[in-house]
Amino acid sequence: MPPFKLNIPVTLDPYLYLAMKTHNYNVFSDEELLALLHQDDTLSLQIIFSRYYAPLTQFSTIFTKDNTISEVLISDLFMNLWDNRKQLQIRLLKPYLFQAAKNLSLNHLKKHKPLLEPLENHETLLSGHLTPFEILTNRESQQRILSLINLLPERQREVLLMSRIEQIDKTNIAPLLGITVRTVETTLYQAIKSLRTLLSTSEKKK
Amino acid sequence: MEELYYQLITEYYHQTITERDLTILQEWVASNPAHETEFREVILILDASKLYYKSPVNQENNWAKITAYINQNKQPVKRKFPFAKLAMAASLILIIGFGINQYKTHKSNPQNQLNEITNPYGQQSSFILPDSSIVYLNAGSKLKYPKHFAAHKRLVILEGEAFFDVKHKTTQPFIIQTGKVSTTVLGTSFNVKAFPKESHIAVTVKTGKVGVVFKEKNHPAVTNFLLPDQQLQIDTKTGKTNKNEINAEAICDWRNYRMVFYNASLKEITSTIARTYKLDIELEDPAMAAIKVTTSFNKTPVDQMLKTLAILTGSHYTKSNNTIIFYK
Repeated sequence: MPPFKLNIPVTLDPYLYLAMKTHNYNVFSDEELLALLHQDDTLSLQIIFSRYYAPLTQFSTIFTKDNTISEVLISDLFMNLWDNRKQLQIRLLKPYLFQAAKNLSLNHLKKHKPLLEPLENHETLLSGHLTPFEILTNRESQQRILSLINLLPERQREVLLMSRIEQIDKTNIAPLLGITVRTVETTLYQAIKSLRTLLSTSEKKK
Repeated sequence: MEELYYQLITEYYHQTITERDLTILQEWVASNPAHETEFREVILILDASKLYYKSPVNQENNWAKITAYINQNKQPVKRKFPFAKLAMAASLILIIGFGINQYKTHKSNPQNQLNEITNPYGQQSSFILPDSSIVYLNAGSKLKYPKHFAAHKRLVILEGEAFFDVKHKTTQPFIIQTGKVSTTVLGTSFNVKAFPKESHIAVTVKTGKVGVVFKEKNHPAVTNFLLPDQQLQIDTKTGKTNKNEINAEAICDWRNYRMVFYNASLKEITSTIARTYKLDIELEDPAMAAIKVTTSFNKTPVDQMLKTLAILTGSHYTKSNNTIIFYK
């Protein structure tokens, strides 16, 4: 691998740099932040954190199904990022972060395998006391869809949920799951199709 | 339903659909009431599955944990050195030499081992002392502290400005030495500003109680006690003190690039900006240094601060690279 290249121009006016640093951190691209991180800049870590903490936590819950655990895992991820800042041989930050989040989440699952799915995932399915009016209101339908998502085939569920995270798109999802962009697309449509089928059958049951 | 329409609806939902595709989708929806139902359902599914995610609840706490973690493991800032290997060899010799020297002096004076943290202009830092007190060190400032605090006192030496959040220890007072002035506390948070080039030292208390002593040979040592939101200014030449009620929160907030000046001289203000943003600011006419200004900046861009100062003092300035000159 070639040595790590700094993307930030070394001749950047320090005056300009400080002005940017103190006013609008977000002018820096991910890769510029990565270069700054390489130079022990703690502020860059903070900016990366504020940019990616929420989407990474969301992403992690697809696997852990537990918000609290995911928040802890993602905090660990940022501590690791800081510890490894000198050794990191990556050009793009975003795919690295999401891949690391996936690995951490799956490792966690391996160590703490849940014995049973939490009951609440099926709760709405089990309770059949919805009035027709409630079924018609959006919130109820949304709740039903949410409970049905966990019944989808694993890959469809993952793709559907990942596609809902604002910071990543299908080109990011494909390498994370080891499939092509085209497969991401078809899997997403299959997921929507399966959900519609599940919706109509769960409606008939009532 | 064909995959094409799923795709169009998804694009419609993300507002990335082209004009042409939008027309195709509209025609498809209008052509059959069943299509309209399908359209609604897909949108509902896309919308509802977003609700799978709850917003994080511990983001701030977790960031605090990460900061604490970083500060514990913070290594001294290393600069790239062209003769790294040579330097390593040289420093090895130095370390051995220093070690022998330390071994010799160690017995006579165990307090001799001082850590020193220096911030150049334009750089702030924060770190945790051996007693787990927290220090925020401002730009252009230096703090020396022993590797191990003595049993009866915690002594540190400051040149410049720092905010201290001191761990409470009743039997082990925390003392900050700044030239002739020493500040003693048991456990509280406060700010000390003592730049050698400035004519006075300022101690501002945020929480708790702080004692400040000015010591000189022909001068009686008087302890001034300060309470929260009080500031003591001491003239380093005459020892004359001046106590003010002040918003301590604002004074201590330089850590977030906020600057507050109450009746401060232009010289003091420009030096503060120069330190914080690594600039060189000069006053063409020395008489301008004494002009008093009251103003505050909150993460204000440098150019805007300079403009404001020029207006307030009725002067002008020129800027080339990192050098700024104020003139009448």
